[in-house]
Amino acid sequence: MSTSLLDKLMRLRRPRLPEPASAATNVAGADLPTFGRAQSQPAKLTVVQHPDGRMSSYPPPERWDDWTEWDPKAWPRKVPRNYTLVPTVCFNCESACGLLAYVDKTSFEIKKFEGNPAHPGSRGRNCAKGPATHNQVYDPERILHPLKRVGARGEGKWKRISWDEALEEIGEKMRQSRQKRRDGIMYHVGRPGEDGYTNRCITAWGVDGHNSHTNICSAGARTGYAFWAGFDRPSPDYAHARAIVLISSHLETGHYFNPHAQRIIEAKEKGAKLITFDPRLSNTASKSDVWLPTWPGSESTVLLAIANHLIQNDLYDREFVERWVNWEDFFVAMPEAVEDEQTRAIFAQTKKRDFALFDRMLKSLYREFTFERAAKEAQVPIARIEEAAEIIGACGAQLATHTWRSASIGNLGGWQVSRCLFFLNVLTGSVGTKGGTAGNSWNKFVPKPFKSPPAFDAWNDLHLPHEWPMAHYEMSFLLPHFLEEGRGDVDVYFTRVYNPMWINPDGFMWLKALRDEEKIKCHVAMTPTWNESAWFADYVLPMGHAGERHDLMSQETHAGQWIAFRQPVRRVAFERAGKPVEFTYEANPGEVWEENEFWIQLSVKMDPDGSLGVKQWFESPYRDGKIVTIDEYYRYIFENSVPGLPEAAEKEGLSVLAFMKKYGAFEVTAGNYKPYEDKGFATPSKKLEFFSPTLRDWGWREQKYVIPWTLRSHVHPEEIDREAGAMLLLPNFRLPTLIHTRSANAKWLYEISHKNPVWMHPEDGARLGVETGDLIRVETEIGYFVDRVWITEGIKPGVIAMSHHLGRWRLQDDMGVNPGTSNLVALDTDGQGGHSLRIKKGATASQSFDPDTARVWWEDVGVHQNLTHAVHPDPISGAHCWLQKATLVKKAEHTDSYGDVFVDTKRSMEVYQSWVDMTRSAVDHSPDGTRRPYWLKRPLKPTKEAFKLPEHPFGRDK
Amino acid sequence: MAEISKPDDRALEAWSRGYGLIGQVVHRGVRPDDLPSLVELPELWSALPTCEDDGEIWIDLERVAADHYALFERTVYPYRGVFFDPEALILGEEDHLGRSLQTLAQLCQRGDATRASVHLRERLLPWLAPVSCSLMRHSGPFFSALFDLLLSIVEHHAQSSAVAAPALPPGWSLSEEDGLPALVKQLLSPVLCGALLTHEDLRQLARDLRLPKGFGERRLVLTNLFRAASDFDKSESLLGSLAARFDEFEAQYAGWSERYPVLANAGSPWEARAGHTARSLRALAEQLPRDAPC
Repeated sequence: MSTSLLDKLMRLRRPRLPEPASAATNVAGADLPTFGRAQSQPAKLTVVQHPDGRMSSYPPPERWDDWTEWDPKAWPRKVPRNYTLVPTVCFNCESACGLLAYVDKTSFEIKKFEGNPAHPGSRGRNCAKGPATHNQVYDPERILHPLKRVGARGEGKWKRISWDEALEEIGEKMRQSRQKRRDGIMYHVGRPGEDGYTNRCITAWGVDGHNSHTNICSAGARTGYAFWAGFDRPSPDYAHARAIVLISSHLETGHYFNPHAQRIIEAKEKGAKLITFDPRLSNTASKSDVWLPTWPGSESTVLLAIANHLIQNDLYDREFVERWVNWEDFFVAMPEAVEDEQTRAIFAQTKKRDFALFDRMLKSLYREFTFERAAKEAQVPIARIEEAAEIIGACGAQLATHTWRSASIGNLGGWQVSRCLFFLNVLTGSVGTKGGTAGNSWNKFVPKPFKSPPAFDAWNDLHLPHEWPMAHYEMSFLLPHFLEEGRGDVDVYFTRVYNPMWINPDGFMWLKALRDEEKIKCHVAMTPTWNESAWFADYVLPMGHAGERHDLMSQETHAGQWIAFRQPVRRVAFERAGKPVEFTYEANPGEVWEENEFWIQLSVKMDPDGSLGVKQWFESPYRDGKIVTIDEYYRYIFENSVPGLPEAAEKEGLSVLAFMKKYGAFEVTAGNYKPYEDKGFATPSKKLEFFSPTLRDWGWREQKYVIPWTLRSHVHPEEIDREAGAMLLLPNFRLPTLIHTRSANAKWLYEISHKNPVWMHPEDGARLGVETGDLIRVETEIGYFVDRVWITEGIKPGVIAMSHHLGRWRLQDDMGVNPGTSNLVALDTDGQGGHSLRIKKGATASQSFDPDTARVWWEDVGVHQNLTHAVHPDPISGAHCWLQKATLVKKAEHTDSYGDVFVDTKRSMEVYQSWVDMTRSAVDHSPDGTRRPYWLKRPLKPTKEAFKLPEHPFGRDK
Repeated sequence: MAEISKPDDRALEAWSRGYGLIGQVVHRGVRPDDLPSLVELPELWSALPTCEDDGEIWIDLERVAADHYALFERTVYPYRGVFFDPEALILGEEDHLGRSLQTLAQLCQRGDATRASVHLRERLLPWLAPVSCSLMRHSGPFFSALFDLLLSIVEHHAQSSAVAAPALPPGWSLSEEDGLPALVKQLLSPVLCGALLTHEDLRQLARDLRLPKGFGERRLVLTNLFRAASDFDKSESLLGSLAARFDEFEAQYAGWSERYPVLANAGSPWEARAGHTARSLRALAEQLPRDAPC
């Protein structure tokens, strides 16, 4: 036996074995290199065990001032680099995750950004966008100095000016405007990235000047939540949930992606079930236990079918509903509140008006929402809806739900999606519970600054016109349409980290407005980088990225409150090295500044002698009559307005400011559950308003508006004539690695994803005779675009989808958006309302100080589809309903080229008017002569006086 | 008592070729230049998966590569530290089974019988039983035949020197104060419990008991399983199923010793330890508080 084994083995070839080392070698067998001599050794890392059991390693905070590690680029030599580690806050989405900047102590260059383990929201973790801040800081195309236009707007001719010149000139224009009127200055904000600082400044100016991007973002969801509970966004406690419902992938691949996703995963690891509604097989959908690829617009029906399952089977929390829902108000509003005859009869025939009656009425009202109906409308297998309902029925009060954009901002009546979704929380009693869904204001902590200026007595009709009395919030995306109609003009228009012409629908209307110096008299673009809109500005002011500015932020990432302090990291590094800095631009690249200091100085320039009453709000709380410094501003907040912070700082022997500069974040409270127990909800009734008296009183009396119900979307299947070649365009899903329009200055992110083909189901591809890579023409209500198609089963038949980030462009080859991330285009107009965009060339490699710009290997950087979207302002929420009717989708014509866009702005105005016609104006429906229900939020609330309807509302003067 | 003989040069050369081939395959999978050797080993050659292309039958090397990845990278991590260190610390590449076999091949090729014997006794035999049992439990036909050949060679090689039982550190030692993390640690450390509970084992347990297990590293999954079992009143069932799994490990070691009698001493402490774990789990199940029947 053994002999035969040996014989057998001897027939094998002699193995080629690794040679034994005769001297010290590396793994490749080469001689070991000579090591550089380390002057100090890397230290042991701090190991943090996360709640989900995983571990990460970080430099210990006590070593952040003096941290040494090997330079990875010098490998295999061991070259030590000495850093000072400065915490700051990411600025690339709204989550405000913590970053830790590694600033070289010799050169003061920023080596990298990693996670800040002391941050309670992100807990040391980041998504791809966080570390990519480094790309933005070292972007060869960034704007380094204040610029002023010379020549015509959009001509592309600029001159460099000093910050003093910019402050003087813009401050004077603001002063002149403020002396004439209180609605002439407009601050239009894209990414706020801070809590309250700028709002305080605008209030101090005494003008109605805040114009947000909310109506292209979250207005639909906010409206639904506001009518339920008075807060305007949800804060799910994912980590402790047993069931999680997400309406769309957008949420957990975009907004709050990192802090939310990590907590969803924690819950899943503990066995929680994830249910996702999305017509697209997104990353989130693919990780879900139940994926419901609902036809857009059918979400409310599916949610109400689940609610009906809970109601009919007595699976809802009767005690909670009886105590916290305004069912008594509902009785008062009967019989007009409902149209259903059976429910009216139940009410009429029952003497005792108690909760048992409400229960019977609920059972009667929602009986029509069967699983069969939901499956038919959503075009989803009934078993999946039943499974979702069973999961929710069994999760107790641990139901975490969220909707933000997606269906809520996609559909006409999308605000009812969040209302129906939160109905499930109400029914399961999972409101503010552990594992349930809270209100954002319960988990977000916004401290008070020194001296608050009083509310301004003004109302800008370009922000909130009378047609949309309940909009959440300013109707910002309609600004060019309002200007076109002659509703007003703007003296000084600030766009701040905002690219309205690119991101809003109907961009050629914006182009028209931005070119019109009569309508927009002075346009100041405050931006870290070039963008399409800034090209049409009068001043371009370079503002810092995440590691180049001060801001204070808090977000409702979980059941707790925290604040995070964004810092200009090189400035902090200079200060640590004993080099004093007066203004942040002294420490940033070029003369890049930050808004905090800019606003202080600009406000003083606007009112140098104090006669406008503006200057007083910018005087130091510590030094009489002197202008406040940025350190003083935050010192006051930290000393006086953050509970627990002074004690925590004292424990470490630090001042509060030094403590926040050291750690960059502070947890104010943890485990916030059921805060409404004492004071109730922020609604007029202090209850959860199942029945909305506000909607009834302001002219929306029908059953489908006043209680959670379904509203027929503008993209209802009957509105999409598929036989005639129409399809539904889902244009607004996000990719987790991109940042709205700002990724074009982050090379790592663009290398990951840079094109936005049209997703199309194989059935539709076969019908049209197109394959992946073929060009198609997508016609919308106002024009068309040409893009390549991607055939995939990851999208529902009848629906086409495009990521909304891509298709950036520039008009000049050597300036504007990065050549490696944008198309060089030609814009043209026929003078009759017809506008076109044609790509002259795609992305190209180029030479710069960054060798990576010469390594750009891609040409296709997407198609700018938003130009071809008609505006769809929802008559209640004011949200732009993003879903588009693609009136005809077909193979591209022989004259079509990739990226072609055409729009007829005459059609733009017609579609706009057709949506205005759906509104119910406060002029006709206000119950008390005011413009808007006073209890509803506004980003900046004017005096009560300002709420009075104007004597001459626009369009009513004859 | 069998006479212990000094290996001759031919035996050393033969072992070297055997260890060398197996070490390479374990370390980086089967490559085309291994095929001329494999064809000389009919039990291995016939177990290699095949595919058909243009009417020709080919050895399906991609499938072997996938099997290799699934076995060595996803299921059983063939590092000495994983099996023999209570903290599962891996010291480096030399800890890998494939590398260890290549070292043996090298020593045999040089004719260094003494150092080869020391390496075999000290670096391989102490953990050979649990690693080979784990690998064979999760292997398809080819890798199963490969390990069978390996154990035959090791047995042949080990005849030249007496095989001692490896000294294992103290095993199951949970006290009443110890919580779930300590229990999980015991059960996931082969040197403490007697065998490797793989992801596949944990998946199977979850499926059998219809319990959610989540995902992540083994420690997390087993912790979740215990928590879920508690939530769904299945703690006793889970402990019972785990005990049954360790009964199987114990029986597998007994079969291993029977098949390779020269190596029996190397397997017996592992067999005893698996048996002890099974009994301890049953004792733990007995201690669970029981609610009065409704």
